[in-house]
Amino acid sequence: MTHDKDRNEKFEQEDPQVEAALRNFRNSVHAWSEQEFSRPRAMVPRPATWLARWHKPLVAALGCVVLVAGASVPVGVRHQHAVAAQQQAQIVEQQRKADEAARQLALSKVDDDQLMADVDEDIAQATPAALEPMASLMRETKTK
Amino acid sequence: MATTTAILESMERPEQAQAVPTDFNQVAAKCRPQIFRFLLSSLRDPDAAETLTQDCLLKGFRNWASFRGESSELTWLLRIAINLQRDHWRNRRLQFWKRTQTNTVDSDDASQWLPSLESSPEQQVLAREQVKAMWKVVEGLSERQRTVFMLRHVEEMELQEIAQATGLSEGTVKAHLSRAMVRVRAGIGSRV
Repeated sequence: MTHDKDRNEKFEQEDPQVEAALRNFRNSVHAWSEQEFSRPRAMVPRPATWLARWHKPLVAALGCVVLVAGASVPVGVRHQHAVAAQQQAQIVEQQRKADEAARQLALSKVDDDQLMADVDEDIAQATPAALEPMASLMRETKTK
Repeated sequence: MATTTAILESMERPEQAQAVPTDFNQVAAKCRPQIFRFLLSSLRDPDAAETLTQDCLLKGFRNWASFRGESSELTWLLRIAINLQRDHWRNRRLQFWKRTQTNTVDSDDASQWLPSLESSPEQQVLAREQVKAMWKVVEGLSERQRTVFMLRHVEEMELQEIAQATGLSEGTVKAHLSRAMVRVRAGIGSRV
């Protein structure tokens, strides 16, 4: 420890002029500090900045904006969902009606053909015995 | 401020140092003048020094439970003060666009403070010139060099204590001090 102290002292050996300057500087700082430390200080209120002045109205306005947004956004979203669901239902209904019409059309076409075939069949079945050879001839031509 | 000197003398006594006061009020009362002096010499702004001294003691009070007695209370508080002072400089650099009110004392004014020593008017003038030159040199030092220089030559702290207060190694403290002293010698030599 003493060796360290000796080394430090050796490290800081100064010429008398610098030593005197350092001593004067130290004394000066000490004197200044003591003077300032014992000086009574008056508390000066800070002038209100624009932020301090507008703080309360700004907070109130921001609060209102947040409140309105908080209330209106879910309502808007809900309304949008309802409109979208209605549009979707309309599209599905139109599609269903179109499909039904097409099915009816197809069904009606099939029925006419079937009806004609049945009529033909019935007519064929109701052929009098005298005209049977002729009817058989007609069947043969049909199969050909 | 005879009490300050008495407090400092009592802190240097080993038997007093062993009796560690556990009450923070005692520690604050004992260390406050020295913390204020260090901050005043570093900032040259009495109001900022007073504010930072209050901040330092408040921070010390809040963290008093974490003080483990590895260093003296003063060294521990000075470490807080050094960090606060660094933050203060950083804030001032960042807030260049703000209208900041500072009461920084000019080096010419700072050199007017001399203790009423019983010396001749010539010696007083010479001392004032030396102090003025010293302030000019201190102005040109880097933040770390200035801190180390002030702790060594104004607060008269040991290198080991400075290392503890600044969080630097003893070698780094010596290096900073050495560079500062080169500039001091050059500054004083050119003036006187």
